[in-house]
Amino acid sequence: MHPAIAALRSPRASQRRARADYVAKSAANSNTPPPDAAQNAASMQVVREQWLARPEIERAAAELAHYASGADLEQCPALGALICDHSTARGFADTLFAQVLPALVSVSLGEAPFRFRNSRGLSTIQLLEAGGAKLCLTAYEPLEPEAAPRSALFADREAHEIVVSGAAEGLVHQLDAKGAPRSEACAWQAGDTIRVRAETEARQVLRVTRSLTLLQLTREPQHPAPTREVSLDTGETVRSASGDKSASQAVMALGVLGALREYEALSVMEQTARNPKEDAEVRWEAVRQTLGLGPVRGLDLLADLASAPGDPLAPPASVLREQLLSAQPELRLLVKEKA
Amino acid sequence: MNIPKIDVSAVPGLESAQGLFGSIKQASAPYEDGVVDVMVYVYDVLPPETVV
Repeated sequence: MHPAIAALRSPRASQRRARADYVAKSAANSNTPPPDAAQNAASMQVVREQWLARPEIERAAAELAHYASGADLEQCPALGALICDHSTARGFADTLFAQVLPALVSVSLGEAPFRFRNSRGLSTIQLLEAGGAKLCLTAYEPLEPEAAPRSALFADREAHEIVVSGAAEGLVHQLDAKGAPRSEACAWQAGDTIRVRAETEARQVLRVTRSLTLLQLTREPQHPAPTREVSLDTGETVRSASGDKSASQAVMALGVLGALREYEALSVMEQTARNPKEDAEVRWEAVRQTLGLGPVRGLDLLADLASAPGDPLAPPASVLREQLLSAQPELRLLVKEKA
Repeated sequence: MNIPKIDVSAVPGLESAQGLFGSIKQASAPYEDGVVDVMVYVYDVLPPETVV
């Protein structure tokens, strides 16, 4: 990244000053007032809508929805061509840039109206989304090489990728039936396709020789299984994290409600804990927060859960109830009084 | 009556407890591409109305 742009990006204040300078200069140089922020946003939105209205994009978007609902890629010919045929993928990217770049030049303070993400050496924009399926354009920039990775992340997400331009080297990892990892070195260049199966495969870009641009089609189930970090030496799971964003949001929301002492949330917490279709981590967090907010209702809840046949939370609820009652004998009074 | 309290921080998580979504990164891999879902779309010159 150009150092001037990096400097501008880091402090927010300098962005605002640059904007104020720009507005003042354009006001001095012309009789017409400079476009305000709302006009900028609106004109960039028009560009996005024009792009989305192109017949080939409309077709890809419709097929993406079909793909999200579980269809095979073979049943989505336009999407399949995008992600398997280099000239189609290249044409797709060129069309996007031909539409967005001139708009960015004419609307100096405009922003391409797509969700995006930046981290060191990596930029992604999300072009289309339907259900759990996404079509993204991702660029990897060359970085100083690091030591070989000792672990890799295996996510409940399948991916089809095609190298639009550039070249890079990396590893493709595969877990066998026993969960042991096998790694294969790969060198990718324009036109190559990469297929990553959910949970059992992963790929890592390690060395970018020329900026690598990938068109990525990904698909996740509605409630993805946890993402695992697997040691490449031993095959052991080093750590795991929820693959389900909405479940993690619910866990955090429950924690916030508990910390804020929101007593009105108690009945929602109890319902959540009792709902067998809810994510187990979310249910357990609801149990914890109910205990914190209302010990009497929390202990009742634990007793109910502990005696529910076949509920995966029954054993931990039973253990926790005993632990609490023996650690704090005064809690027995609450239980007895109820009985 | 003084109702005894339960300290939430002392109540353990499940044995299968896992990190929150996006909380693990690839150790010693140069690019943070393990999670593709964390994205923002911020129009810096047009804050949402709730912020104005």
